[in-house]
Amino acid sequence: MSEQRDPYSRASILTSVGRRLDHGFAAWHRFWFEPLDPLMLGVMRLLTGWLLIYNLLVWSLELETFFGRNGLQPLAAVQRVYSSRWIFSFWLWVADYNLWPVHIVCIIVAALFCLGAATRVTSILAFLITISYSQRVPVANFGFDQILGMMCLYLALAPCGAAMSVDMLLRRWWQRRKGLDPSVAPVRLASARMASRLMQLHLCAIYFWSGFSKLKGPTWWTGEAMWNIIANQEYQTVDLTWMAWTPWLPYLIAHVTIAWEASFIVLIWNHRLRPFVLTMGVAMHFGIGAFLGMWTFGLIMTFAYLSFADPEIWRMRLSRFNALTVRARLLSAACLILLISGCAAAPDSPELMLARAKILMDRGQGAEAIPVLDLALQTMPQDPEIYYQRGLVYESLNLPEKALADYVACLQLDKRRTDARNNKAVQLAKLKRFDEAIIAFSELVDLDREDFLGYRNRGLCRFEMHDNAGALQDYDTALELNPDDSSAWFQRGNVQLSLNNLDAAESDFSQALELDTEFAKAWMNRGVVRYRKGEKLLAAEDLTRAQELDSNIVLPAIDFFSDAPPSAAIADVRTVSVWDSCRPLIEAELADRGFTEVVFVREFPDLQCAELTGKVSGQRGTILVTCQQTGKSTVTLPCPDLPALAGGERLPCTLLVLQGPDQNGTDAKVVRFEQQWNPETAHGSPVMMDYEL
Amino acid sequence: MIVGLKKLLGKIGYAVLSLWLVFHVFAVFISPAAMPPSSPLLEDGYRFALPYNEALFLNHGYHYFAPDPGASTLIAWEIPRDGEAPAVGRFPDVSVCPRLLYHRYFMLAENLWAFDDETQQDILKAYARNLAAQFGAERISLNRVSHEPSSIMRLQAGGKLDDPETFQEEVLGHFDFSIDLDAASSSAGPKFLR
Repeated sequence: MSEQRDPYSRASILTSVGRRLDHGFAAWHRFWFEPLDPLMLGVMRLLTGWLLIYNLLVWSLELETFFGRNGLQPLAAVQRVYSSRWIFSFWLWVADYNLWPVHIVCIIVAALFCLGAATRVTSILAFLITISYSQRVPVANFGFDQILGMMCLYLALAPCGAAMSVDMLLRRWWQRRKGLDPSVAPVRLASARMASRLMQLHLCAIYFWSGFSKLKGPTWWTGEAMWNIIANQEYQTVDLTWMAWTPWLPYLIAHVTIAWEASFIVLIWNHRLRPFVLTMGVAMHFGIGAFLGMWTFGLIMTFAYLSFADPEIWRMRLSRFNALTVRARLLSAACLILLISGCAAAPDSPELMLARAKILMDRGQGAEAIPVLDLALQTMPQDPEIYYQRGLVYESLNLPEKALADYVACLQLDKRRTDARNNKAVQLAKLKRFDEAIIAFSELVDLDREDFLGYRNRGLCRFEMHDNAGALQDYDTALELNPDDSSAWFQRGNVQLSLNNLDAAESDFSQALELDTEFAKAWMNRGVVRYRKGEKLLAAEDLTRAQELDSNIVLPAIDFFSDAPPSAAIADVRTVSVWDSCRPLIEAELADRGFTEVVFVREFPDLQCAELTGKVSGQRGTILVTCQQTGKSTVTLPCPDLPALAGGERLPCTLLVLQGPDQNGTDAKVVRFEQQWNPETAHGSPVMMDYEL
Repeated sequence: MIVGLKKLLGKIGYAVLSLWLVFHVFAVFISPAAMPPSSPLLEDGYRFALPYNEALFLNHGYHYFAPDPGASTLIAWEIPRDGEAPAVGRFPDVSVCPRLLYHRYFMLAENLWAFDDETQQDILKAYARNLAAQFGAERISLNRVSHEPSSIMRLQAGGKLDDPETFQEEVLGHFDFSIDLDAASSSAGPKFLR
């Protein structure tokens, strides 16, 4: 009777661990080094070499443009990108005059590699050539270059010249010549297995990351990603937009693509599933080639699949190829019929009409969008979105009553629509129904305490209702919630201005202008504040800036002269060439009209105006000249403080208004001449600008 | 003795080769892992393998059409001409043949924005210089054009892939190469005006 061993004894455990380690090492060895027929590596070398030659020939078409020192990828910029990086590219050291000789040598080496001549050397050179071209033009790279580099790397490690090569033919010829019987039995090499495994694992890494990186994007989950690729006009070579009428198809392709890519790393190791997995991959990559024009990328990916092919099984499959294609053709025809059957145009659904209306609105054809939305409402009268969109169209057409009715209808169907609630309140304000608008905005801010726009708009309505304290409170809240809102600063400034808090108003307008330097109304109103504070030159600067930004802004006649600094201080005012060119015209014009002893008393080139004196009909008088800018409907005219002129003696006044010259070189001309002009009637102050929701 | 030494060397070589295979597979898998969002652990692994991956041109993300395929980018150019309408164009230009060359130009427009600002400016200048040289011009303007793909609904509603609303232009710069062209051998670079 044999003695039973204790399974928990030290010896048993060590034996068990040793056995498992042996199995592990054996499995490792089989996986990486079990000798393999290099036939498929030879085929891959032929195909990869062919693509490498093609790639180089395409580069030949614009070699200097891409690879020249000052080409589209300037050498200095590329070298800077690669500084302190482990990048190899012999192109970084090739002078422009050697571009072609080096390029031709590369093509020859690629051809030798493709044919399998001196493969041990040419395969390594082919890899170095591939990465050198890619690294020299980093901006022009895409997936094809990455996979070509990968293939050339593993083929350089592999005995890819041991099959389907000139080397092999030469070896046989040499054996025959020596009187030896050239062996026709395929050799099996451990290095062939290792290289094939590396390719297989690299493909797994590519699909693993390609699949999982897609899961980062929402459109791959919604299925829209595939449509976005199909509808990308810069990629597409075949118009597949008919799929818009079979949307399930791009969605399905998107889901299948992700499922296939993410599961490739697992399913490919199952021998039964492997043909299915690879067939899917071939279909996908041929689709990329046929429909997106990336044949080079599609082909190099599928060439790498040959690393999974068993040479013996591959030969058997080839013999069955014809039979398979007949079945495949039948299957394709069935699929095509299925797809075409879904191509009929969908009926005009409300969603479709809504989209059509949006296109018309995008194109500024709002009036044409109304009947489309009316039609949509006939079939879908309970859809709040259609009312909302029609409200937007009415609003764009400046029809607030109709817009209001639509927003109200939208809210009746869906009370949660804060956008509709806001727009309804805005329409009420536009219709001057401020009390109702205040209630509507209050409802809005009650629903969302963070809605700074609601507070701001309610503030505006309260201001209209002369509730300045309430308005200020709302603006304070709005600015607390969003201090970067230039409009809120501007509107609070308006309240302060109307309360005659000039310093506070100036501060608010300045804040608005800090946030938005192009805010014409804020320039205008700060000018008003400064004018009221007596800072008239500063006011003039602000008002002029406002009118520069917005030619619709009307500036009244303003008394700038009374506070104008002495001429010495004005000397450093920027000379305006436009004004300089006006002077001869002024003198000639006044001379023509009988003025003598014309003297320029004061000039303000920056404001493009001047005060002159002159005699006409024996009487001395004041002449005011201003230059009106082309295209502006109003005149900015500085009027003198009349009592201050001539020691309080009132002189007859003449007005001369010029226009131009403009930037196109059009000469200045007189547009208005008025003797016995009364400045007092034209004299005025700037007024506060209007504000808007 | 010699046989024993050979065996020992063979075993060492086998072990070294096995270790290299492990490292290589690790390097291949870790390379795309650093693309954001990524953990500090993966980023450290990426940095560890980076010199190896860069040397063998394996430093790739493999994020094909991911995470979200969106607008494509084109570069539009305009060359002013005295007394005539300006010469205008865009690249990639679909008439460029063969398709691989078209894709090279497509990538010039699409990939540039992944580089740092200084490189972008240098390369944009290079685009401008090469385009201007084709027309013997000294001045050229470049714009970046984003072309959004039309949605399914938009197409069903009568929209088209090339509707003007799907294009958005952004000024990249105005380039004046008069200095450069007047003194071709001068080391002075062209003026870049933005």
